[in-house]
Amino acid sequence: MPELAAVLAWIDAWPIADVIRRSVWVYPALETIHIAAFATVFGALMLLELRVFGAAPAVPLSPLARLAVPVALIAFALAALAGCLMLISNATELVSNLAFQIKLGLIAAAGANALWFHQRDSIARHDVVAKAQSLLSVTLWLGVIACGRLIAYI
Amino acid sequence: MKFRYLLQFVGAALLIAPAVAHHGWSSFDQDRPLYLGGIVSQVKWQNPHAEMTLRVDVAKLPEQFTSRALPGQQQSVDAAGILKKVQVPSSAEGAWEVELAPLSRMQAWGLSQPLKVGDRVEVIGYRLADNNKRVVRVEYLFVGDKAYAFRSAPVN
Repeated sequence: MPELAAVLAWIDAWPIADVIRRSVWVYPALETIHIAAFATVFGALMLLELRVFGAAPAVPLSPLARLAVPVALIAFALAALAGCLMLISNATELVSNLAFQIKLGLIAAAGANALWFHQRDSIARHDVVAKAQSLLSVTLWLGVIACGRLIAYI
Repeated sequence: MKFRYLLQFVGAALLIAPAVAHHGWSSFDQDRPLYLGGIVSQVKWQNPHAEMTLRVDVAKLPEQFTSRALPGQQQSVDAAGILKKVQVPSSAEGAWEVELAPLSRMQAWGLSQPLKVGDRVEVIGYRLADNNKRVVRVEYLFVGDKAYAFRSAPVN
């Protein structure tokens, strides 16, 4: 895929990519933002999904979702932004990393699952499909976390 | 035009692209410390870790190598044991990729300026377990009469 290699090399040559690579502390700062933001995503979704499974029945599901979903979305945007900045600083290398490729695929799958969840109004229905979607969501996001860590190990 | 490329990039990122680059520390063979000596031919002074290409031109261990003084560092490392085991890999001569440490660690050792192309350096490092690749991660780096140990921070 020669075009891809050219695009990646082009991105690697962006001045901002160079700033991120060459600064002593920018990269660890981005890692910190990435992980704090993603911890927020995962924590918010975890609470929502535990509630969907039946934990804490005294907590009304719908208002909980009104808090958890926007928090997860905003935190995801922040995690993605920090992630993209790290990506462009090492585009060629990261895109060729199998763990990174699987991670992107899992994020896409988790996103599609979340869309489906809200499209069919799973919160209001609160049925067995909603529970299955919640289980799938936790599993996919755990996979995303594992693949994110594995980028540095394969 | 560039936008179309970006779309391709995102699309292709989901596919299996050929693996070219880096590996976790555990993929290096830590039981066989290797000695490489030569001239720096390329340097990438960057995070998450610095790298260089070393054009190796030394085919056997220098005299008195095993009695070299190694610097103290935070983590206790069996430096004498490593020195005792170190050997020059077969067909050492030629280009090797050498993986160093994050920039903050390089700085902690006083290496805030990049090594330069043309510098003569020596390393003790571990080869990638996949022996087809001439890639080592550094345990010790020698530049002139200075020695650096990147496993951990220096002892002050």
